[in-house]
Amino acid sequence: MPKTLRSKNIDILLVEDNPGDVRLTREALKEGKVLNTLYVAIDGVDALEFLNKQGRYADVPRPDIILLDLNLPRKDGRELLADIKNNPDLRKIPVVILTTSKAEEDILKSYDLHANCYITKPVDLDQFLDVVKSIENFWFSIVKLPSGGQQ
Amino acid sequence: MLDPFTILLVDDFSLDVELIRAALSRCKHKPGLRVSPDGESALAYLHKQPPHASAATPDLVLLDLHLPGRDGFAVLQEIKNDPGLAHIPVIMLTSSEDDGDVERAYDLQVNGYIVKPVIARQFMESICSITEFWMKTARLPSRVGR
Repeated sequence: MPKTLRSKNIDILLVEDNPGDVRLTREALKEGKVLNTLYVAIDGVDALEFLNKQGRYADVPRPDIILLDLNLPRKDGRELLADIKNNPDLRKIPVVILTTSKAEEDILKSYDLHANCYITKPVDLDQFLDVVKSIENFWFSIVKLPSGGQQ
Repeated sequence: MLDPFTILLVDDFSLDVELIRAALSRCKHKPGLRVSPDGESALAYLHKQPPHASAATPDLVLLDLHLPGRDGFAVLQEIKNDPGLAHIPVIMLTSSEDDGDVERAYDLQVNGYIVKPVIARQFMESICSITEFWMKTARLPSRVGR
């Protein structure tokens, strides 16, 4: 039988400083069909510590996918994206940009930095939930994610 | 008015090409389709080499892994290392479920890796899901007037 659907739990790292958006994303993912665990980093520095398993993050898994906001305190999402995609150990992890920014420059620069896709967060609540569902459907069901390859 | 959304499909297996064509004609959102049967012709098209001087840059590339001549990895690598093309989203659409192929594709910065479902109906549904996601949910670099 071909393994077209993953039965494995999907580990998601959400990098987001807005607690409201974190909560909405968490609830939308809980309602979804795909088993997942959501980890949250509140800025770029926190996210890098998570990805490098530093300090309190010594025992966290490598995420299967990263949902990244662009406007973040300390180290912003653009810088973090460049750090991830320039790091041979981290660059395989798909990064979905999920931001309120509609700026053309942000869209172009994100793809140039090898973001896997760019999505603008809708302000409308129902539309926001639809976007999370659409991410879930595409990235967790249709796409085959890298297996994590813990070295 | 923006140009119609266009997909460049790089696939030499004619049955799959016909299935994708049939699927796209039934999807809710119907993109234009351009087919290249091998990597060389796909790259010539993307680089706008003759006879493709007036070719429009596609919004999305669907790339098979096993191609005559240069394989999908070589094509992917050339696109993602070319500053003029790197921004184009490339989806690997292949029958290979091999973990090594998946890892390598992501390491070469593929935008997504999709295993072709064996059952035709599922295959066609996944084609509509792919186009729906990239046309409606994702923001594309090609749609911001580059």
